[in-house]
Amino acid sequence: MKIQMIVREWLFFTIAPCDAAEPWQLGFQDAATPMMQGIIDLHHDIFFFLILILVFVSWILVRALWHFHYKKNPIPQRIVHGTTIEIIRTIFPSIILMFIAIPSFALLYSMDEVVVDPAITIKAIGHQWYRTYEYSDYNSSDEQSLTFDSYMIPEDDPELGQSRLLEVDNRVVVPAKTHIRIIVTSADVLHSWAVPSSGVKCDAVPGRLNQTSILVQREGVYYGQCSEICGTNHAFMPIVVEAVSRKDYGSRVSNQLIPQTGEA
Amino acid sequence: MNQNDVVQGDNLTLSEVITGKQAPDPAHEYGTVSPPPSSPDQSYRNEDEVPQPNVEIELKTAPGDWRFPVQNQTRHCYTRYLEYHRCIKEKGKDDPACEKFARYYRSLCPLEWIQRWNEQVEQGTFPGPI
Repeated sequence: MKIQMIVREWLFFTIAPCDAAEPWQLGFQDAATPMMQGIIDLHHDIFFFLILILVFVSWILVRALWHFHYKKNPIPQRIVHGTTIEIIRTIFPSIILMFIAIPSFALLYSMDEVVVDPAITIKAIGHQWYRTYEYSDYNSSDEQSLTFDSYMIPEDDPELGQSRLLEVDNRVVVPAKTHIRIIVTSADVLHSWAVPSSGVKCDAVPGRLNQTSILVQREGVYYGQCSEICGTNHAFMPIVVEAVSRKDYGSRVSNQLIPQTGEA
Repeated sequence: MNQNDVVQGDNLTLSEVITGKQAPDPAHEYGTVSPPPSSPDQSYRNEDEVPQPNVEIELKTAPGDWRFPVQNQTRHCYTRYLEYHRCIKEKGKDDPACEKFARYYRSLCPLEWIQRWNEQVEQGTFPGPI
């Protein structure tokens, strides 16, 4: 029974919040967008060279220490240059750098690519210390808008299954498998809108609108935190993105729009 | 001990109960089973079950503009706002052609900015070329 409890606890705490950070996590969170997949792939690509270089350099270092020990080799050799070795050790690292640079730039520029026709625009506005989200694609006037604030659930309040310091009262609902434009800005100081499993980290600068595009490939709940020191409660303004199917997104938005138009 | 033999608890087997060697477990009393924890998903599911007036939401927003193929979209929002006001100046307030620009700037600009600019336009202090 006790073992069962432990297993259950382990399953619960490590698998339940799939798209949030886990205790003692070392690797990436599961990718939810092609961008994050690209970042993970680039990381693995670079790690191939990194390990290769690490092994090679350590081998040279250990070999040098071993063979040129002062007891073994009391009179140092006075070689000042060798053309062949110098050419090799210049050209070879440049080739390695090129192999790293090509996928790196490819990813960098594809992230920068502006999606020609996104399906929806969401504005994420940072405040000290909460976020406001605006869905204004469906507005028919300047006054009426689907706007809500997203505050963290206080530390003493979360229900069973909610992540401490990560859960918010109003999640950003987005449709999955849809191109989304996110306009990130701030109303006071620098903030940053960052969701690791989406591969997004976009600074929120007052007076400036930063655009970032995401395409969430699977439905789920994705957690992120403010990533630009913004004051006392910097740690307490998380981001929760809930990706739902297009149909559910439509009904969710229309449900929230109906009471508003009813009032107006 | 067969898996199917177990009735409730570890000491009680079906064969023993049937042969009368052992009394069956008492039935659960009401109120001893705690309700399952409410999951956040539950509330949404209930919402969906309620029949609602079906308003079709068209997924449509301001298209990407090749004048602003960059991350910084501040000018994009501002330009759309100017375009709208130039349009209504030229064609009149109710022209349907201008509605397009209004939708674009509403999609791109924060509400706060729009409200501030609208006030400035009303007071005649808007600094932009409209």
